[in-house]
Amino acid sequence: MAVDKNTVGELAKLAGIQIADDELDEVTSRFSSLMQELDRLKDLDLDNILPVSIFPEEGEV
Amino acid sequence: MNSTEIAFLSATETARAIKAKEISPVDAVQAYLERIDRMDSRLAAYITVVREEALGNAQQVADRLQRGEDPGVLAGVPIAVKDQYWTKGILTTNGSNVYKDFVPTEDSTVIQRLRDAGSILLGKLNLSELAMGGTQNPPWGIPANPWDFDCTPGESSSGSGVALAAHLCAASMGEDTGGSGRGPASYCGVVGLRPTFTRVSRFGMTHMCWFMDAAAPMTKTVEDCAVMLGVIAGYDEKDPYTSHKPVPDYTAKMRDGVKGLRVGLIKELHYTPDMHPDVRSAIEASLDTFRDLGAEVTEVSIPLAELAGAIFVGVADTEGAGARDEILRNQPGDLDQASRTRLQSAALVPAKVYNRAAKARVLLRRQLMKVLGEVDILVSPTSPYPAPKHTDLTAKFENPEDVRTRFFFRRAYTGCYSLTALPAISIPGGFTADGLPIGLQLGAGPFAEETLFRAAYSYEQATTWHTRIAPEILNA
Repeated sequence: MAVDKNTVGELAKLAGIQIADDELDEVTSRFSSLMQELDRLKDLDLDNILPVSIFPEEGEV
Repeated sequence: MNSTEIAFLSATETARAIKAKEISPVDAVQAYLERIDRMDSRLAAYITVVREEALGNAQQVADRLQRGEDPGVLAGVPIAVKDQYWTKGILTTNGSNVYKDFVPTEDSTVIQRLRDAGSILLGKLNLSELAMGGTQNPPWGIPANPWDFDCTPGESSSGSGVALAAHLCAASMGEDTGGSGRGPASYCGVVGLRPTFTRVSRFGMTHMCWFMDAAAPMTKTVEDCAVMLGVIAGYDEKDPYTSHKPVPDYTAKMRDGVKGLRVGLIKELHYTPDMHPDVRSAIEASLDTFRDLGAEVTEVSIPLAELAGAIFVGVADTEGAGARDEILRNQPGDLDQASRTRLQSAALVPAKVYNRAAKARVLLRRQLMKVLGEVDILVSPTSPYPAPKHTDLTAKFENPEDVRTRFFFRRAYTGCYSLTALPAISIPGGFTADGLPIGLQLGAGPFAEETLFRAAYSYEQATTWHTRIAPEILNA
């Protein structure tokens, strides 16, 4: 997923955080890499899985 | 016994020597304080040293012993803890200028239990900012790896690894969210445990990611680690997620050997071109050792393991950014540049992407649990390569492949267990040709720490890696 600086700037505004002009390139690069890596999860069959925060002590989830 | 000999003792050896009146708690504390004074300006392991408090507490333990009382299993043992644990009346920085004046009004549960067991707190240890890793300019100095001062000791429990490898404390506490305890243990040639998620209270431990943070004993030996876990584990009403399960004596079955134990090498974390050849050789040699000791060694497959780094960052960084929202909004300038940009980028992750990572985490758990029905112990390196140079760690990423290799890939090794709430331990597993430590990681099922210690202790006793001392430290 390619992400440009303008998109990152807009997302940051919506999230209520300020990114310094001289760090926008780096945040864009980091965000782009993160999204690209997380894109790899798209191929997984996760339809019947419910996310959990804490696993139960016994048994399978 | 001279002060250097005292400092080179393990925690349990120190406790035994004190109990046998071969040394006093004050001797032990003074031995470490003298080394800290002499060496820590080069190593930057400590942020705060509580000299007078330590000497006072050591004298109190000595007095109790003199009266015939039993101050606890760690009576008089000098320890130090990552500066992420709240300590009543003692500065707790979390490695960040944001917390440079934070003095807690109570102890974390882990600290309280360590004090109740008779240990003596020497001070608070350096760490990556907010226990995240990747800090470029740590406010309290860049911790140096005792095996090569130009190399990182690992993150984020950097000071904990350094202090142990340099023998600046007898035992320490790190914290492990995605490998922050096991990583430094691996790079520094010591032992680091991530317990089952609900085994140890997190009350009073500043959070990086609430649903993955774990208290991590870091020690010179496996036996020390088993004793430390026994002290800190167990239900705590201040952390509602802690388990009510009874805490066993983790040393009881430690010497039972591994005959018949089923040991499985994780294929996805072994047959990869990015692994350092010396690390690969060390892991294969460790399998031979387990075979020689009577274990049944096999290979297992956990297909999602190679994506564990991405899943981990997708969940932990996103949650971490949410938890740090106020800092990101109001004090971004107080953060290190690398922490700031990492948190800012994670704060932008869409909910559907986070949700996908959270589901993948459950799928990974299923895969691990299935394999753990076939084997008792999982094997991999703790890190696919030894400690990188400081300059390599902070170098800018050149392209997506570089990010994948340097940022996501190495997190897969430790992230597997963090994501799935399972226990894992890093123990010394060899050295590279350049003399850098290699960490052997063993994983097990929920609450199977006894099995983990059994395998780790057997391997440790069959090898000599844990007895080596870094040349610069030996001659210091």
